[in-house]
Amino acid sequence: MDKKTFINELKQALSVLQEEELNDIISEYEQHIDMKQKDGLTEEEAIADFGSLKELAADILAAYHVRADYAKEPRGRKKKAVFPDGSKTGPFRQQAGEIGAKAKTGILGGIHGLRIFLYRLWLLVRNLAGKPLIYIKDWQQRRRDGQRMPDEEFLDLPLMETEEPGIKAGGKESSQEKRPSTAVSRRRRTAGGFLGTIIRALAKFFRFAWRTVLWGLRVAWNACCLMFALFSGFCGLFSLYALGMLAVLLAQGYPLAGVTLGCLGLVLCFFSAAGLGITLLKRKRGQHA
Amino acid sequence: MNAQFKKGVLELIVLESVRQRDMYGYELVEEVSKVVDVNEGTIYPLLKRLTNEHYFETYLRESTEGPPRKYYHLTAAGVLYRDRLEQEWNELTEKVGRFLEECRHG
Repeated sequence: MDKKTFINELKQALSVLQEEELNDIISEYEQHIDMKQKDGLTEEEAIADFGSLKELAADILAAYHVRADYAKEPRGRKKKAVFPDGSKTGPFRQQAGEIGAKAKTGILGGIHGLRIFLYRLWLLVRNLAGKPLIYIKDWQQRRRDGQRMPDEEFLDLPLMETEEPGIKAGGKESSQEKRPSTAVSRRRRTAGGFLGTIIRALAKFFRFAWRTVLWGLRVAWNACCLMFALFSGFCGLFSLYALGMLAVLLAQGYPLAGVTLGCLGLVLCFFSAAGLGITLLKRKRGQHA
Repeated sequence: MNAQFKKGVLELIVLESVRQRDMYGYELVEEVSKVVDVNEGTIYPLLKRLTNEHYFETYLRESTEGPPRKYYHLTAAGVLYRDRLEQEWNELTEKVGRFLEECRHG
């Protein structure tokens, strides 16, 4: 066997591998043969030293964790691709394998797998994101329907007389709003006249003051939470960056497993702190969880 | 020598050779061939696997003759792995030796 046929047959036997890897390993063998020739051997002798091509191919495939029986079994089905991840031959892969573009199907199979993976990821994200979205929609709907949520009514109870909901909603009261509104109208009736207007004006002023104070408190609280969340977020990003660096170093063989784990913990810690900061943000009265 | 024996210990020999100094494929094949008589083709897959597992890293260096050569260098993980293999090898030979001794006398 001369060099050309040897290389071609080896390529054929290893065609499940990615093209890059294939070329890499083939060039090693080419160089080896060239060196042998420089040492005074003929091509045939150099190639004969490799022994059986089938075993050689099996060895190489085993190094990539590809099932070796692809190369070992002398079946007529040589053209059919065996994928590195096992022997799955779905309709898609079988079809592609029969076309004979095996290297391509390897890549296509990879893309297919990637697509499945991405789709699953999308499903997961949708599930996770879906729940809060549904909750928000639900909440918006409730807000539109009922104008005010029951607990807000309860909070506003002492101030309610100024709002005159008894008049506004006199006839078309829904059943759950009946109790506070009747109480308000009763009070309104007992106040009456000039005194009533003064009390209403005072109540209006106090309500305004109360709201302003609440608003100030809320803004201050929100600012604190936001600062905290932002700070933690930035720290989290930084530790994520550090984690990436450590992971690369770890992969290169530095003994940094402990530090990397610690860094991972830090990342999680900071991000959850940021999440906590955001959940502590108070929105308008009555809307906070 | 039994092919399975060789296969098992080949990794250790390759790791140790590269630990001494960085080598390119053919050089390594020659080096290993001095120790065990091995099918020359099987070293390359082994190198490939050890590289994939990050025990080796590779770099290209120009040579005076022919195309640039791919040199293999042992990583820190490779050193640890080599030490572990050596320890396992020593334990194995010791145990097997003791077992054979006992059988001979008992």
